[in-house]
Formats: sequence, structure tokens, C-alpha cells
Amino acid sequence: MKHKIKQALHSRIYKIPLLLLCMVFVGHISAQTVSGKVTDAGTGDPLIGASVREDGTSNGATTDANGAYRLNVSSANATLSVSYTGYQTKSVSLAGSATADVMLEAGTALNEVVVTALGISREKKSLSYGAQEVSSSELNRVKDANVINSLSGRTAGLQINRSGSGVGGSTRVVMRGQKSTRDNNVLYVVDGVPMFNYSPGQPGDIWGQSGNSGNVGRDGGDAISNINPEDIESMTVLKGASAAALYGSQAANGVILVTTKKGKAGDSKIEFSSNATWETAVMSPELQFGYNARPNENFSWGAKGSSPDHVKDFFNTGATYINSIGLTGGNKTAQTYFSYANTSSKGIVPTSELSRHNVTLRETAEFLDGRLSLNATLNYTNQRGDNRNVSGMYFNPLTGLYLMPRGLRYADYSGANFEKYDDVSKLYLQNWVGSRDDWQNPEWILNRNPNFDSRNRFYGTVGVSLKLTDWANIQVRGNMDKTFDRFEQHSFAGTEATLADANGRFVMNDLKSTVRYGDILLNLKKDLTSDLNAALTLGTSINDIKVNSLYADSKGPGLYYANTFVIQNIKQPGANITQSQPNRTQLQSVFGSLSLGYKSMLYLDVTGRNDWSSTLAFSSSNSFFYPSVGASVILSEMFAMKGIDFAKVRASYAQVGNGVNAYDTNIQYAFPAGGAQAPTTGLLPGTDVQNELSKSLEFGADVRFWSNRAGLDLTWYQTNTTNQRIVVAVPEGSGLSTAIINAGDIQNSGIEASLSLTPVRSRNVEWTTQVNFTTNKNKVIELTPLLNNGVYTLTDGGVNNYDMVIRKGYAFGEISGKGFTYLNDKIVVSPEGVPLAGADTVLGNPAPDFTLGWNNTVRFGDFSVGVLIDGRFGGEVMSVTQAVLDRFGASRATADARDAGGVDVAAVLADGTPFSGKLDAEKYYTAVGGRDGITEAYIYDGTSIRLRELSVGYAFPKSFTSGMGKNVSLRLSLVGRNLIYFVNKAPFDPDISMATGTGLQGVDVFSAPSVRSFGVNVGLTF
Amino acid sequence: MKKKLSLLFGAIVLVAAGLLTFQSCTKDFEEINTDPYRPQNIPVGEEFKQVLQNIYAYSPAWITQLQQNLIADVYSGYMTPPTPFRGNSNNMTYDLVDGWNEWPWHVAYGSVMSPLRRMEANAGTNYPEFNAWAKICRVEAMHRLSDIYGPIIYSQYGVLTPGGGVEYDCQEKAYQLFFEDLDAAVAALTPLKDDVNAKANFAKFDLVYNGDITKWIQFANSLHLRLAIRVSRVAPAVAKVEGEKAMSQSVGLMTDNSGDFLVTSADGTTHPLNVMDNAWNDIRMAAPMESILTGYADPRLAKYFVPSVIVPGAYKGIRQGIAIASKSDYEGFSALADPDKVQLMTAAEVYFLRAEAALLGWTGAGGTPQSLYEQGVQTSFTQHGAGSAAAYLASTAPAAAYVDPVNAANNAGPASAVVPKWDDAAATAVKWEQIITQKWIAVYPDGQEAWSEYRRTGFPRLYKVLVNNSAGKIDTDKGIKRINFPAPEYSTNKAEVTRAVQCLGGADNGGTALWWDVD
Repeated sequence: MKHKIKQALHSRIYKIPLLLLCMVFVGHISAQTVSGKVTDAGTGDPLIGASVREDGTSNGATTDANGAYRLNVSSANATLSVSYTGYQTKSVSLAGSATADVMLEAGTALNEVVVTALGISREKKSLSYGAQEVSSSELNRVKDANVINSLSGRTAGLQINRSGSGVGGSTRVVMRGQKSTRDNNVLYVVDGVPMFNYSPGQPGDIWGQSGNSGNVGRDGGDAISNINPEDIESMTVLKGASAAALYGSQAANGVILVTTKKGKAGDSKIEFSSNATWETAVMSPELQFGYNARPNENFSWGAKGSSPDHVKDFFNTGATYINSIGLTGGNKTAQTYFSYANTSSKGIVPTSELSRHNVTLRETAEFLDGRLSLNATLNYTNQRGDNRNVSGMYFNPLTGLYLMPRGLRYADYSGANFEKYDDVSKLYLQNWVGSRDDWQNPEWILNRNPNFDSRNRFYGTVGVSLKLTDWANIQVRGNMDKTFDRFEQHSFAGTEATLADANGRFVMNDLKSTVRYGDILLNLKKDLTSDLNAALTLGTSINDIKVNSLYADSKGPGLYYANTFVIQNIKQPGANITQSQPNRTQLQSVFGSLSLGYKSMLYLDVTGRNDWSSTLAFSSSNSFFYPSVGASVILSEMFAMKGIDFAKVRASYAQVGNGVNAYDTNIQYAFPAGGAQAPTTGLLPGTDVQNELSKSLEFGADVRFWSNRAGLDLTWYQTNTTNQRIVVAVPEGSGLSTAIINAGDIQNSGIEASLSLTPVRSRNVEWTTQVNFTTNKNKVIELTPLLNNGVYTLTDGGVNNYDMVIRKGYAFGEISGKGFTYLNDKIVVSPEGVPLAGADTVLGNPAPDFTLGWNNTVRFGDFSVGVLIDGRFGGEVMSVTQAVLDRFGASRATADARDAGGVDVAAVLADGTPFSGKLDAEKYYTAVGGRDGITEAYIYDGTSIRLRELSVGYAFPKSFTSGMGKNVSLRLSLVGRNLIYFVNKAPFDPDISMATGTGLQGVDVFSAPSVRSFGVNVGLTF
Repeated sequence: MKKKLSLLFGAIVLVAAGLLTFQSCTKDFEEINTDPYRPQNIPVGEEFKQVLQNIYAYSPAWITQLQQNLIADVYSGYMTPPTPFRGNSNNMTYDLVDGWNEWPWHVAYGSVMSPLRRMEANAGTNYPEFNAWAKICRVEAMHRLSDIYGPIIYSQYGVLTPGGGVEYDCQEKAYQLFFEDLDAAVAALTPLKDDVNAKANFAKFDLVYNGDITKWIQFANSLHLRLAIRVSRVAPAVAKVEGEKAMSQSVGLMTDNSGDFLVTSADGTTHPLNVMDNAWNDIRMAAPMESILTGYADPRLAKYFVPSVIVPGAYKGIRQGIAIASKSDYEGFSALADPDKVQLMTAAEVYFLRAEAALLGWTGAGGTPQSLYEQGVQTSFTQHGAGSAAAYLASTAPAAAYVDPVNAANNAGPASAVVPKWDDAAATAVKWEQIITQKWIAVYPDGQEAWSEYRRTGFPRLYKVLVNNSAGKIDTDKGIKRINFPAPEYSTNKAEVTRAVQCLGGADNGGTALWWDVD
């Protein structure tokens, strides 16, 4: 064993700490070993990834690329159960033999098992709702530091947007359209426990500030991004409310179930994975360097000139290294899984870095002859980020970088020149062109406005399951998730005056979140007659979420001493030092689910849940009940269907309730300077708030044919979310200025289709392909007549030209801003040729009309190639970046217009007479561009089609690895992401969104460019 | 089998017990849903601090700027910004900015009416002194609001109509309610004025008189007189009854500067005018102040303003409603001498109110118009440490001509023709103008009261705007009369604000005169 490790060491792939960890682990040897090969009974081709299990134990293995398996069994007379998707499961009795080759018949029955709500495994064919599973090997094909990003294009019904903060950033995942005024992100459930996917500090405005108080915005990373991708066994996307009804309130937006790896009896192995990728910027804005600024002007609207391109050398080649080791092993009574992963990343923006360590220990054990089983998981994540990318106008190096007046030399402001000594203050102060809050010297920001964030997260679950009879068990589970986040930003003296005071600015945010979850489940499963079986689950759960935050910001009164960044250096009064608990909520629930199956052809599911939400305390009722019912019919079991291997139709109806925000029903006095202040928002006298309610209906069909080599899964759904929490302005004479009410009806309807096909399957070549299609239509059926102009604002643009609103009759989350003024379909300009701004209007919706994902895996012998192409079609997005670049005369578009002698637009004067000639470029872009210009000019088609992932893998043959040991397998792949944009109509990547909350969608405000990455991935198992 | 069944039974009991345990815990929900990082167990009366700091908003300064500075402080002739906000088309040039002008409304309801109502709900009948105190504060805040817009929400505050709106009171009704509320407050406080407990209760939250209930009663009576004088032209009979009542209350009126209504900041916040003046350079002396105070050689000039930068050593004010190309053109005009506490009423003002009452022939003024006028001037001098007013009161120096060092187009002769010296033989109209002109000087820097009195009386005579961007809504000669109702009222309370416009008796714009503003 040690010898093998040495060989691995000589390959110089792995880092020393990984080796030290594995040195202590010595695999164990079992007395009984059985090996063999699993093949297709028809073609004789090996079946790769087939499951081989010993009945009555948890011993199991999967076949390798040659269809071979090796398994430690408890007895020489054991019975093996061999299964493979699309094939009939077969039992083989060993009867003392040490080898067993198994041939499987392509099956007509579909016995896939998926994990569903509450961790209950069910046969997929019995499900009455849409569910899609993605395996670990798929997720890790082209590894992403945030595993959720790997779902892009692989499932229907999801819209995935990454934040612009680079590696380790948060991801916004919306399932089946946006429906809530409060939160639309899916719920993640890890091994049956709901995860609080908290993402602190998300920006809320174009400036990049968080909240309304001018706090510094950022992306602190969400909780799901902290998971080691290698720990994941599979993910199941439970779509729609029916699937989620049992997870209650939090599941109204859909659920992604994450099943993590655990140790397996007799399957002792060590897995190394090492992943290195290099990233380069793509789709950075197109700039001009051919026109200079006029003397002492910030805008580059002067004479022709030629400046060197100072932008292209600014970005680095980023690098991300993810190394992990996983150790699994165990015997019949106790199994262990241990993993460690190390992620380290340097971003494309200089000084931007992230490092992360994940440690996981999972122990499963059985007692009392297997009647009592214990499952314990411990996780620790440590993450540190320096200068993670920010979006928005403030503290963003990209504004000054892109906008620097042409004709100046960047070298005069970079390197040692980003600061210069000031004899008055005796400090080195910023050296930059002019003082504007929306641009500073880029290198000043990187070096003298640095930010640091760190996270320590402890996550632990303990579950005990007791088998009462062979048809009943009871399970008790508890979980604690504690996260400690710290963020600091140090702005040195010399930072622009809007952003910091004369002695600098210190911002500190300490956050602690504590989530406690517990549940008790009683599972009964019994065949009532030979044809009718029933499963009943009764349970109760409690989920308590608490977030504490301490925010300190010296802005206003400032610091006593320059450039000392500690709290006691903050002057008072007037500094924002706030201790708050933005979210303490508790949800208590009882629930039950009954499933009936008749002759494997008819299935009926009924669930019911009652929640008690602390957020509804002080309301007339804190309790709400919601049911679901679903049925599926296996037509292929009922009728002989020629050419059809499997056919199912399903229907379900569900409701999901949701509470309101913490403290809504009980808003207390606030602390301002100089004494408590009465709240101006709350409930109007005589009114009450109740839970939100989503009602959803779905129909689906699942058909398999061509000997199970082709399958089509189709779903139609409609969801109406009513009784939303909406804040409306009320007459101030009522005693409040804004009131919280329940109102609205937001409808989502859509179609999801998934076609999977194995066009080629032979001994040496296998090609599997899957197409996922999603379309969702969103409509705001009703909002509330109490809203001003019927508009509910998600992002208030303020003085800027981007708002995000909900408006009756439109889709959820429209981009709104100033339009042009039109006359006879032509834009109206002044006699000088300056376009006239029209009224604020709805200009587009960032949600795509439909999305398509096309995922292919081709295996030629030991090689495998993965190709994932996905596209979003339609929808409108907006670029504030482009608007500002145009206003400053810094974009290529402005130079092109100047070269062409003006902007060629068909325009008319206010009286309808045509404007003759082209519009003067400077006048045009000065009026249209800028963060407060004419929004409509910067609305783009959101269509984007890309080669999202490409991987070429090679599994080294046994002949190569046998020198290291007979169980060793080695795999090498070359991977790439975002390699080709076939179509991308906007000047930025619409996959990236400025924030992962409900607002600021479909807008780019100086986000870091998207990246194209190439890399290599090595996997070694022994 | 039996064992299995008993296990199953045990499990059911466990689940059931779990359910019961959980569900019985919903009693903690109220505690969970109470934000522990908000002030807990606010003492009844704490609200007065917020109220007293918001009749005139102490902070943040931008709110004060919109609540009063860019409205009444300018229209009173006290101050003018050098800044050409919005390309110089703004309140100063009569292009009323809705986004600014809703702030007096927001502050009055959000930071005065709302906390007072909460306080009353919390106090119940346990603290009669607080209920009375609340009435005084409310009248002081809301008469100022009514003097901006006209009809306001007062008696129906917090009461929703079936349509979800809130009804206004016409200004005449509001003034009647102000008188009634002051009567009730004074009646309730008078027996408690020496009550140790009541005084101690006041003292905890009193940012004005440190718990001196007598002074609060004197303020209430003085306020009563101010409001009576305000309606003396539109409703002379009511005014006489109310004014005489105010002057005959047993506890009396404010008589010296120890009774001045000066609000201290609860947390050391500086007077917001200092921020607007020094940090933002957004406010400067106005031309009428320069004309009158320099002409009179008024010793209070140096107490109110600092010499200009633009004409070193000289006091220069900016004329309101002129063409300003760049802020830098007028930034060098006279800045303000930093005011200290927020001043909402002074003993000097009360002497001038009494002087006018005497001039009107009301009973109980306690002196002749001349003696009360001269006491008013002397009290103001004393307040500002300007010494004896004897020489000043003998002066016949008139107001000076106004010269704009940046743009001669703004030059003008003196608008005011009266002098400090009282001439008992002069016409009543001259005496009236003298009283109001001196009151105007004394009331500085409270532009709200000065603008109201200017509209009621036309005094002191101010310069007309030269740039009028009101699109015909505001007559240049008559000047601005009010502020239109806040835009949010039209989106949230449309039916009621429409009715309020009816009782306004004219269009909802800055050209329609308020009820008490009769020519």
C-alpha cells in the first residue's frame, strides 16, 4: 500500500498535505472477495457503472469501464443483486464461487430509484411529479468551485445565474419562474436537512451598496457554494410544489436535494482528485483608444489620438486549483467516509484571491442486528477571500480602468504611481485624474481599498433510525449549522470623498448564523394485499434560523487616525455601528404522506402539512395547512404497447404556504441618533397579515422506447402565487408611511421537456445525449390597487436609469427606465440632434423565453468526451456599463460613430419633420449614455448560446495501472468551460447577475468579465 | 410480534409527544418574533425626544434642508442658497420641486404625529401631564405644517375612511382645534405645575425646559397668542376672544429670555444649518437681511452672519430667484454665524405679538404698542448679547439699497421704508409694519414663522423674484403663498386630498393663498 502511494507521490500531482492525510489511512482487507463482469445479454458489451450489491447488507460496488467489479462480501454463499438503468435487475447466488459474470437483459420495467422529500427513496416510476437526477460524475466532469453551477444545462426547469464575484461566489437558482416578491431561490436539502442558503451583503443598487443605508455591498458567498463537490453522490431536482410540499414553506420555490457520499461496507478505497483550471477574461467591453480627452476633461470626446490599450494587460490569467482526497471504507457494522478538499484561486482581477478548505467526516453504523442505524456527519469549511470582485460603480477598479481619459498614460497612475506623498497630511494619497465617486484609480482600489472576507462554517448532523418491524421504522434527526463570517474593508486616506472621510474609512461586518433543525419520522410500509401496497410517513419537524450581525462603518464622522482600521478608531457620534438580527424565524411543522401503489401500475400520493411560523406571531393565526395530491399511471403496465418500453402519465396538484418576514407583525421602535424612533412601516390598524400561498398544477408524461435507449419526459405546469407580502405606501395620516399587506397573484406556466437518447451503444463506443428544454411564461395577474401607479419596485434606480419592477399585466421583474420619445416610430430629437428622453416605462424582462441544454457523452474505449452546449433564448438585459462607457466617449461604439461622422439613426424633430444627416456622436451619447441616460438605448436581447463544457477524459487501462496495484484506476481529463459563445447578443454574459437576491437582475454594472477556462483533471482511485 | 407492536406503539407515542412538545412551543413565537436589537420597554414619554427634535428636524441635515431651509427659510427673506439646484429651476425660482416639498409632511407625520400617538396609546390615562404636553407639541408642529400647505390631517389622524383614505381638516377647522387643544393642555397642566412627580416625568425627556412645567404653560399661552394674531385678519372676532384668553391665563406668557423655546439636541448633534452652511456651502444670507440689517446698523447682524468672502469685510446677501450660472459665483457671500440650539419661539416674539394685540385694541396686552415694541427689540438684543437697544431704538436710519457684486441686474433700492425708531404719531399701518419688521429680525433663523407672518402682513417688504419658473402658477408680485400638497397624497389618499383642495378654495399650487392670508 505504501509503495503505491509513493508512486503516486512521484507523479508529483498531489500536494503534500493530501498525502499526509492518506498515509494514516490503511485500507482494510476482507476475507471474502468476489469479482466478475457485467455485460449486455444481447450485444455482449460491458455495462459500465452497473450496481452490484450483496443482498441484506450495505456492501456494494459499481462496474468500471470494462464492466468489471470487485466486491467484498460477508459470506461465500451470498446473493448479489445486479442492476443497471434500462435493464432488468438480476439476482445471482454465489454458492461459494469467487467469480460471477452477469448478463443483464434490456428491461421493460424501469426500476430507477430516486431520493425524494425527507430523504425517502422511491422508485422513479411511482412519482407523480417531475424530478431529475444528476450524478456525481456528471457534476464533477468539469468541476466548478460552486457545485450548483454545474447544473447549468443539465436539467430542465432551472434558471441559473452566477454572481459577478468570481470563484466561490453565490449562485441564483430559480425553478419554474419567479413567483415571490421576497425570495425566489430554490431550497437546498442536504441529506434530508434543509439548508439555510444565506448569502450576506448582496448589493441592492447600481452603486453596489447593500441595503438602503449605504453599506458596502459584496458577495459573501452562499452556503451551497461551501460544499466540496467531491462529497456529493447525486443531486435531485424536485420541481414544483408537489415534490416540495413536504418541505414546507421554504420549498415553495422548488427543492434541490443533495445526497452526499457515505462509506460502503467492503468497499475500501482512496480517491484523489486534482483539478487545475486557468481562466482568461472574455467579453470585456469593447473600448476605443483612438480619440483623446480634451485637456482637463474626464470624457474622451476630444481630438483623434492614439493611446495604448492599457486595459488588456490589466487582467491576469486566473488560476483555480481544487485538490481533494476521499477515503471510504468500512465493514458491515460501521462505515466511514472522510474527505478533504483544498480550493485555491487567483482571479483575473489582480489581487483577487480565494482559498477554501473543506473537511468532512461521515460515519454510518448499524447495531442490534441492523435494526438500529446511526448516521453522523461533521463538516468544517474555512474560506478566505481577498479583494473578491465587486459589481457596481463604487470601489470597483474597472470603472476607472475603462474610463480613464484617453491621451493620458496609465503608467503615470499605476505601479509606484498610484499614490503620491502629500506634504500637508504627511501621507501617501491617491494619484488620479479627477475626483468622482464613480471612478478611482484602479490600483488605488486594489491596494488601498482592499476588502477581506472569511467564513468558518461548522455543520453537523446526527440521525438515528430504528427498525421497529420489517414494515415500520422510526427516525430521529438533528442538525446544527453554524457559520461565522467576517468582512472588512480598509479604505485609506486619499480615497474619494463620497466613499471615505479624510482619514479613510473602516467597514467591518461580523455575521453569525445559527440554524438548528430537528425532525422525527415514522415510516410505515406494507403490502396490504398482494396487489396493493401502502407507505405512510408521519412526522414533525422544527427549524430555527438565527442571524446576528455587527456592522461598523466609520463613514460620516470618520476615523481619528488615518489608516488605522479598528473599531476604537471610529469617531462618534454619527458612525453606523449596528448590531442587528435581521432574521430570527422558527418554523414548526407536522406532516404526513400516504402513497398507495396498485400492481405497479397505479400510484396515488397524498400529503398534508401544517406549519406554525413565528413570523406570524401577533397575527390572527400563526398556523397554515397545505395539501397535495398526485397520481401516476403506468400505461405500459396496463396495456401492451408496441415499441414502447415504458409509458407513464402523471398529474398532481399542490399548495405550499409561506410565512412573512421576521418582525413584520411586530415592528418596534428603531434606534436613530438621539433616542428611539417610532416605526413608520407596519400593519395598518385593523389589518392582519397571513401566509403566502402557491397553488400548482402539473401534468407529465414519461415514455421510454427503443429498448430503453430513448426516453422523453414532458411536463406542463402552472403555478399561482397569491397573498404575497407587499409593502405599499399608505397615506401618512394613517400613522404609517408604508404598510405590509397580502396581495397579488403571480402566475407561472411552462413546459419542461427532457429527451435522452443513446444513439450508439456498442462494445467500444457509446454515445448518450440529452436535450433539456424549458419555457416559462410569467404573468402578474393581480398586484394591488393600493400601489402607486400599480408598480411594485424590486430595485429602486433612484437617480439612475435602471429600475426593476413588478407591474400588473406584465411579467415579474421588468426592467424599467427612460425610453426614447417616439413619433411615427422614429425617435424624436431636439434641433441640435439630441434625443429627447421619454417617460419611465417598462422596457424588457431578463427572464429568457426558453432555454435549451444539450449534453453529450461519448465513450470510445478508454476515452470519453463530454460536450455541453446550452443556450438561453430571448429576454432582455441591460448594460449600465455600456451606457457609462458611451457617455464618457470610452467605448468602441463612440469611436465608430465619430469615424462615421455621427450616429446614423432615423430621427425626427418634435414637429415631425425628419432630422437631416447624422446625429452628432458626442451630443447623442451624452444624452443617451451615462448611468442616468436613456435606458432604452441599452436594452439588449438576452440570447446567448455557448459551448459551456467540453471534457476529454482518458481512463488509463489496467495494464498501465497494474504496476501500482490491482485496484488502482487512474483517469485524466482535459476540461474547458465557456469555450465558445456561438451567439451572445448583449455586450456582457447574461449568465452573470449583479446580485443573487430578487432585484438587480439582467443588468451589468461593471461586473468583472466572464471567464473562459481550460484545465486538467486527474482522478486516482486505489 | 408483541414486542414489535409495543415498539411501534412506543414510536407513535414518541412522535405524538414530539408533536405536542413542538406545538406547545409556539408560545415562544411572540418572543422569537420580537427584534431583540430594537429598543425594548421604551419608557412612556421617550417619544417626546423624537418629537422635540423633529418639529424642526435636527438631523439628518438634508431632511431639514427640505423640511424648511429650501422653503420657508428662503421665502422669509432670511437665507438663499448659492447653489443653482436643478439647473437653477427650483423652489427659489418658483419651480416647486415635489420631491423636496413633501418632506415637511413626512417629518410631521412620521416623526411627530406617529410617536405622539404611540405615546398616548402607551400612556393611557396614567400620565395626564404627558397627554397635555403632547397636545402642546402637536399644535406647535402642526400649525407650522398647516402654514405650509393649508388643510392638513389633524383630527382624523390614524382613522381610516372606508375607502382607505384619511380625511383632512380645512385650515379654519385646524386652527379651531389648535385653540381647543391648547386650552385643554393648559387646563390640565396648570394644577400640576408644581407637582414634583409630573415635573420629574417631564424632565426625563424635556429637551427644552428641563421639566419646568410653568414654562411649558407659558409657551402654550404664547403659542395661543401667536395663533390668535395669525387669524386676526380673517377672523377678527375669534382672534380677539382667543388672543385675550391667551393673555389672561393665570400662568401668563413668556416674558424673558429664560422662557425662549430652544431645543437642545439629545445627542450633541449640531444645528443642521451649520451643516448646510459650512459642510455643503448650500445656504447663505439673503438680500433683504443685508438691506435691512446693514441699513439699520443692527448689532445683531454680526450675531447672525459672517462677513462675506466676495466683498471682504462686508455682509453680502443673495437675492432670491435670480439667474445663477454657477454655485461658485455666490458661494463667497455671507455665511451664517453658527446657530446653536433650534429656536422655535422667543420672548421677543411674544412682546411683538402683544404689541400687535395692543394695536388691535385687545384687552390684556399689558402695555402700549410702543412700550411692547421697544421691549421686544430690547429682549431680542438681550437674547443675542447685543447690549442696550436704546440708541438703536432712537435710530432713523433706513434700510440700505441692495448691490449684487456678481450681477448688477439684481441690484435694487431698499424695499422697506420703516426705521427702528417708533413714532407714536405715525399711521397705524406704519406702526404695524415696524412691529412686524422688528419681529422678523428677532425671529431669525426660524424662517417658517417669518414666512407665515410675511404672507399674513406683507412685512417686511421683500424683493420680488427676477426669474419665475412657475409657469404662471405663482404671481411674481404677490409671491409664493403656499406649497402644493405632497405628491404621495395623490397616489395614496386621492379622494381626501381632492376634498382638501376644495376647501383650499383654489388650485393646488403655490399661488393659492391660505385661509388666514387675506389681502
